[in-house]
Amino acid sequence: MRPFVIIRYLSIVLMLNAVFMLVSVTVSSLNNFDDGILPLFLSFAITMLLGLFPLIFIPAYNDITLKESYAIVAFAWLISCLVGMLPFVLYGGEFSVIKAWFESVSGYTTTGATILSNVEDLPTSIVFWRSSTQWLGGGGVVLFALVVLPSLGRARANLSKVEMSSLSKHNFTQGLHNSLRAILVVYIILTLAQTFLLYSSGLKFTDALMYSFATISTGGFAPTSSNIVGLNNGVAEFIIFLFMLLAGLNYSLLYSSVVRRDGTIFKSGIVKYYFASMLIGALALSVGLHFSNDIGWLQSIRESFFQVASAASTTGFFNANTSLWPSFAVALLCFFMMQAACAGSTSGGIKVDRIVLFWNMIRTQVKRLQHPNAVIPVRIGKIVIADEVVSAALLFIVFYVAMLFVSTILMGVLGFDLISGFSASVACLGNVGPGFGVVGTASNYGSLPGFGLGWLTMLMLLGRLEIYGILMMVFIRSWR
Amino acid sequence: MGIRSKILAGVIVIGAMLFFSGAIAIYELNVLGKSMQSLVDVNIRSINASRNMLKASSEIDLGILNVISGNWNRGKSLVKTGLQTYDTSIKLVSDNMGTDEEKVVIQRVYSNYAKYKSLTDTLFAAKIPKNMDWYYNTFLPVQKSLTDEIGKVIDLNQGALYNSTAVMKVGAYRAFVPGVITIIAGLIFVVLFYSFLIHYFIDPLLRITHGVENFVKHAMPFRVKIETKDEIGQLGKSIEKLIQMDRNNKIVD
Repeated sequence: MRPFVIIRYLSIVLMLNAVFMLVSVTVSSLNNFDDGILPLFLSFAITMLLGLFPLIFIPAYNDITLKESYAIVAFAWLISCLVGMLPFVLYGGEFSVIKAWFESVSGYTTTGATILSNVEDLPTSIVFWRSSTQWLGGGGVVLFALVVLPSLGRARANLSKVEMSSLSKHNFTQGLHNSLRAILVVYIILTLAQTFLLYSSGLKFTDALMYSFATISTGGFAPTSSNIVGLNNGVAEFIIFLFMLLAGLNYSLLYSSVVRRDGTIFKSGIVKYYFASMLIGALALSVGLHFSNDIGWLQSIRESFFQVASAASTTGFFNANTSLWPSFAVALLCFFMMQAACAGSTSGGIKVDRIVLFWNMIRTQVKRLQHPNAVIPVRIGKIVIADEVVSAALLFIVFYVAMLFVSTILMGVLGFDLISGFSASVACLGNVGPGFGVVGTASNYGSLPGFGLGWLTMLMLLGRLEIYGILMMVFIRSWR
Repeated sequence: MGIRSKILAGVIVIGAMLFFSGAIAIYELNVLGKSMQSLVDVNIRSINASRNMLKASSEIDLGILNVISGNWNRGKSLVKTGLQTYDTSIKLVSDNMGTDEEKVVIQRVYSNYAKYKSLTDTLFAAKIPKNMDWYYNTFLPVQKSLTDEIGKVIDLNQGALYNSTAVMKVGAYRAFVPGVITIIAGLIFVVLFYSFLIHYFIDPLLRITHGVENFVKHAMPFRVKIETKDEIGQLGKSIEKLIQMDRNNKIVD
């Protein structure tokens, strides 16, 4: 491994972050140079210079290895989170160092869990930066660099192997470069479309943009503490609901369906399962809430559909105080938080693809027991899934659940009740955001001790890098 | 980019970072100093003015008692001086009141002062002389309300002084943190700068020296990989050419 190669690509990622900091500086200047101007400007200067410095000395390399690619991707997330916390630390207020780190990791990993008790106390530019971290993270800091920098050549192919979810790759029927560009195009178009619609529905432009950043990246950082409840705008709520559903779809399928008009998105078994599971879940929740919480049909349907879409897409917005919901509702939402949305989207969690694969594995195993001599491969639709993909998916699910158990125990040791501890673990590992109980919609993560916050940020990174990315870093010594 | 330009650019980058963070820290300290000075000045001025009003109340009180007991001239003079002090001080306090809560209190001071002043006016204008009953039942309650409100003004100013420590804390934090972050970033830059110098300048030179020595002593082929295209890269290529020419000459010989 050549550390200087890794440093060179990390410096590109740093410069990309610096560009977005500069945008936030501009937002501050448009808001009469609010209190965020100096923290953001200094963060921009440090990040830009840190990015520029290695580029002066290190020449371009096009022959990066797979190990180096893993290191670039994992460190790109870490270094983005580190520089991302600078504006928060420099601003102060509610942000201590560990809380700023938590907020930054939560943004970049598109988790949307916050330590802030009152977002409105922050200057608009800092809130805008907070939203930008999710949008940057959602697009994948590295993915941006891959598409923006056409000079990478072979390096791009290796980096994309690491950066994209392994399950989403079989959906790419076009060339790699075009597929990556397709993801970025879909990401930007969805953001612009939602911003326009929200703006048309009566939101301020910056609010519309920040809500769009949070929706399309499936982040969930709202510019107000009251989240969607405080919008008091049914049309905007419906727009956000629709775009949460869209953000959970595989972007390359979405692109292919729109550009080629081949309707692949409607033929995909995974997409069908994604929508069917949400529909059944939301209907069950509506009925349950209507009878158990004694609320009207319209309200129960509205809240149920929104919350299920929010949990399943791992966005983490809320239009109701779910902490007051009965235990069956909490369990149902936790299931959707774990299952999440399609691979190839910006969502976290186990992903629908793996869940479908898991059920197909069980079905295939039953068939194999019935016909011991038959060779029956595992399939999704008509596609035969390779054994290594199947075993990797199974291992992922087992590791995921094991991590949840370990984390729940750890949160219990820190003094949290079962629901709070489990839901915090599910919400952070699945990159959802708010959990239930003391980390529910009515409160925030600010009351957690420093160690708890640190642990949850590790879960967020594990979830974002789909576990293997972080594990590769942990076993860095075996790379030599 | 040549070595000279690279080192110059590196130094400029480090210098720029130090400049930005230093400038921001100095700016924050300056803002903190000025705002603290002005906050303390305003509050101290206001507290002094409120105390003057309380002193003026005692003076007017004494003046009223003098008038009731027949010392008309002495009493009138005391009341007049007291009212003048009031007029000056109340304006000063009013100018220093900024928050909504402070404005409400100063409004009440004004309203009580208006009642108070009208009572003193009636004392001098009245055809019927005032007695102690009037003093206890009419004048003292109004005076008490006024002094109570002035007491609240003093409390508010003392509270504001206490709150300024919170402002000072935030300002100190914002001046201090850029320095800490710059120190950390500076250390990173120094480590990187050192590593780059070693990896891209010193090591290639050593490799070239080693390669030349191997060629001269053991006639080993000169194969030194130089990653950069700067002066060191050119030096490597030139030596390679030189050695090639030397070999060709030997073959010709």
